[in-house]
Parts: sequence; C-alpha cells; structure tokens
Amino acid sequence: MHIFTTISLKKIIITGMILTCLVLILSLLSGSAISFDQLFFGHLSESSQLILWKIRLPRFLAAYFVGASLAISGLILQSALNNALASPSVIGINSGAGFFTLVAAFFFPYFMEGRMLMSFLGALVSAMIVYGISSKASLSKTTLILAGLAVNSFMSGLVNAMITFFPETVGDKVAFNLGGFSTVILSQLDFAIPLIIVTTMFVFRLSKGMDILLLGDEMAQSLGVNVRRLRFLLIFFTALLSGLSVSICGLISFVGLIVPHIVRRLIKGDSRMHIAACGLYGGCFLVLCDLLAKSLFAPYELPVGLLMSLIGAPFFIYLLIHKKRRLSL
Amino acid sequence: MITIRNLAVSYHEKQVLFVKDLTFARGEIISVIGQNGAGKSTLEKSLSRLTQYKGDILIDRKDLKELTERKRAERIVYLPQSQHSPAMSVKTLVSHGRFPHLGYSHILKEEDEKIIAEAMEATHVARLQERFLDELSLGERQRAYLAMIIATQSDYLLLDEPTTYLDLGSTMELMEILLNLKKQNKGIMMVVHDLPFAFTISDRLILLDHGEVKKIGTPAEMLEDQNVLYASFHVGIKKINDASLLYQYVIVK
Repeated sequence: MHIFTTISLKKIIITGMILTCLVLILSLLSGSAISFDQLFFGHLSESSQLILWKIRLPRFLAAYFVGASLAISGLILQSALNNALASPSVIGINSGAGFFTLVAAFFFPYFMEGRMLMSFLGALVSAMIVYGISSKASLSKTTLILAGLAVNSFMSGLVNAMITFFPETVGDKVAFNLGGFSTVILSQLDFAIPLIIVTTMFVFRLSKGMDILLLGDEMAQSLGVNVRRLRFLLIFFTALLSGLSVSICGLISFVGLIVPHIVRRLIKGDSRMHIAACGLYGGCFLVLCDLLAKSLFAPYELPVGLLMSLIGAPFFIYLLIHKKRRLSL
Repeated sequence: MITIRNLAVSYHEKQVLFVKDLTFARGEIISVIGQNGAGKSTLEKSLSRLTQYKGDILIDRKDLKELTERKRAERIVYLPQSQHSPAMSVKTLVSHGRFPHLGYSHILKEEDEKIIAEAMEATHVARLQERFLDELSLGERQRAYLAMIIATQSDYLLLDEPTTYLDLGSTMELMEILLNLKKQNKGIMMVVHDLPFAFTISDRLILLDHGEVKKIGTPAEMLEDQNVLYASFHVGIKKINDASLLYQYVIVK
C-alpha cells in the first residue's frame, strides 16, 4: 500500500523541486506562440515576452501556490478533525470564503487586500461552525461530513444569491463558481504568495503536535500537547490558506481532498514529509490540471474547477465506499 | 511523593469522586480497584490534569495546577486504556515519549535516541521497532505504548487497565516490567480489574466505590477487612502461601 517507505524529507523536497521546474517549463510552452527552441535558445519577440511574463508566468504561479495552499489546508484540516474525508471545499470552508469575498467585492470593489481579508474571515466563520458542531455533539466521522455538507450547501446558496442579485461583484460568474485562473491578476499574488509561504512555515512547526494527535486526544494531552490550542491553530491556518486561495481563483474543489489522500497513501512518514509533499506536489498537480483544462477543448478554455469537480466527486465517493480501518484517520 | 487532599471531581454538577487524603511515593506500586463507575479512571485523569478538579494535588511539593502541560508531563504521565493504532512505527511511537523534553526545534538529540532504545529494550519491543502499530498484536502494541511512557522518564506512571487485552504470557511480562520500573524508583498507579494480579504485585491498594474511598491499605490490611471487599465485589480474597503459584491471592465466592 505504501510505495515509498524509505523516503526522506530531503528526497521529497528535491524531487518536488525538479517536478516543479518541469511543470513550469510545460506551462510556459503551453499554447501557441512560444516553442521550446525559442524559450531556451532563441530570441523571443516582444509579444511573446509579454505573453510569457504577463499571462503564463502569473497563471503558473497562481495555480501552483493555490494548489499547494489547498493541498496543505486539506491535510491539516483532516488532522484537526481526525477525518480523511474533510477538505475545505467539502465542508463549506471554501464557499464561506467565497460568500464573504463577494460581499467585500460589493462594498469595496477596488480594495484587493480587503477582499483577501474577508475571504479569510469567511473561511474562518465556516470552519468555526463545523468545528463547533463537531465538538458539541460527539459525532461519528460520517455525521461530521454531513454537517459540513449542510454548511457547504448553505454557503453556496449565499454565493449564488450574491451572483444573482449583484452580478457586478463578479467578473465571470461561471468562472468564480467553478474556479479558474484565466482572470488572475499579478498584483493579487504579490500579497498572497509570501503569506502562503509564511503560513506553511508556521504549519511545519505544528507537525510534531499533528503526529502525536494521531495517538488520540487523551494520549496527546497526557504527553504535554495542548490539544485544544493545536486544533484551533490547525483550523485557523486551514481557513487562512483556503481563504487566500478562494480570493485568487474562486471556488476550486477537491484539491484538498485528493492530494493529501494520495500523499498519505504513497508516503509512509511523519507530518513534516506530508506537508512538504502536499505543498510541492499539490502545486504541480493543480498546474497540470489547469493545463489540461486549457488544452482539452482548445481554443475554448474549461474552468479548471469544473475539471476538478468531474474528477473529485467520483474520487470522494470511492473514498466513502472504500474507507479501510488500516488507514489512520 | 504525590499528596492528594480533598480532591473532588464533578461531572454535570454531580460529584463522581472524592478523596480526602492520599499520598503515594516513588518506588511504590499502588492499584486502584473497584467496580465500574467507581471513579478509578477519574482519579488517574485528575492526577494528569486531563480532568478539572477541586482540591489540592501536590507532586513533589509542587501544586499540579501551577505546572505547565509539558512540565507536568515530565513528572507524571497517563496511559489510557484504549490505544489507537495509526500507521506509525513502534520506534516513532516511542520517540513521541520524548516530547515533553524536546527543545524548540523538536529535534531528537543523541541522548534522546539512547533513552528511546533503552525504553524499547525494557519492554522487549526493540526487535519490533520498524513494524507498524496497526500490524501488531494487542500485547505487542501495549508493550510499545508502555515503552513510550517509559521514554518520557516521568517519575510517576499512571496505567489504566493495562491487563485488559493481554494474554497470560503478556501479563507475566507486564509484571516483570512493572517490578523493574519499581526498582528504578518509579511511582506506579494502576487501575486494575484483575484482583489476584493487583493483590500480588501491589504495595498498596485503594478501593473505590461510587466515587468514595472505602479503604486504602497493603494487601494484608485489605484481607483483614473482607466485608468491605464483599460490599464492592460480592466476593472475598484469600492468600495462599505457595511460591509455585503465579498469583498468591485467589478469589473466594
């Protein structure tokens, strides 16, 4: 079941970086106007340079960091809620962020940072609702997911209400709901990318606690881990990462479900390795999905979120049916 | 020395445990016995601050309430009855026992590695160290968890029904491990249901019934008061002086 048992953190990082470079080159070359030779050996025309720097590179960066962000937030959410089926999109965190983003866009159309802040608040509110429900009643893992799905429905309803009554808040309504990178602005990334990197560093600090949490709340508390504070921080960082992602590209689902699941299946290791793998491979994963979405029906672009839903929903059902006791969470 | 005075624990405004006076020293094995719901686990959870309580608990003259979680874990650690089996190697599990002592970087030093290796030797799980918890038998997992709390090097170990899932061979091994820990001057408190086991291995016993302390004493002192034993268990206990027996005490109908 676990393919990579002798892997180390160093190997994960090195292969991740190599894969990232390959995916970057693929991104820059995808589409028309720029060939392999031109990129490395030739001289690029001014219009080609414009495409590279203003369109393809920002799109790559956005997709990469959102992919990393959503994958890591899915991983830590699953740890916090002790549930392998939890992910920011499934339990309504993303749609909560989406609703608050649209509200921000309505009141402050040009204040980008404000939009990100509201996105984060929306994510946090949804996260707290689901967390609150789960700690009041000792719910089974499936019931927790159901509660999350209810929150998701509610928040999605609010998002759609905003789009219907205030269509000016969203540039491309369809793209927002389905999540896409075609309208990414570089200025958003200036703020978001450093914040994602810093948050990931904070999350690394929590990895030891996450490992010990696998032994159960009582055992972890007994060993000196402040379980309540850890759980709160994990949910806080989940909200931060999801909020940032939603404010960049709208509602993309299932990345936070698929990537952590595959990482945990393939790599037998501690949380630090899983976090690094989710970040590096999650980024590459979403970039590749975006490239696929762009090229499948060229010249028409599919919003990448649509592709994710088509892959993700069957995957979720598969996980529901095949949850084995052997897997932790 | 652990000193308990006027310890009171309530759940939903109903008092579930009251202990007026109890001291328990290092190098002592003390068993907490009683029927289900008597408050045995509650006592141990209060001692490791997993439960809110009123009253005074002093560990080596320091008030338990004034210790940080980590400082408390360095002195006293609780092993719950139900143990999780995540996809974690035995060595990794035992290494988590060093958590209270880890510095800011969370990195294990050479000394930590030595302590982990010794803890695994102590409970005979060294040969299982690369195996994963979800692949082990219940007895092996129990010993792995025991190694983990030994690795904490805490002075006081609180075990909650350590014999429940063990077969006879594993129970005998557990006895040997506990007696070794006692020689190393650890204080061990155990919640146990197996009365012959408890009477054989303990220096003292605490009998709880519906949250109240009915009797505290050495095995010999407990035997003198058969009425109290009968009131709780509806059986008596008798000592048999036969060195060939595993347990020197038997249950009498």
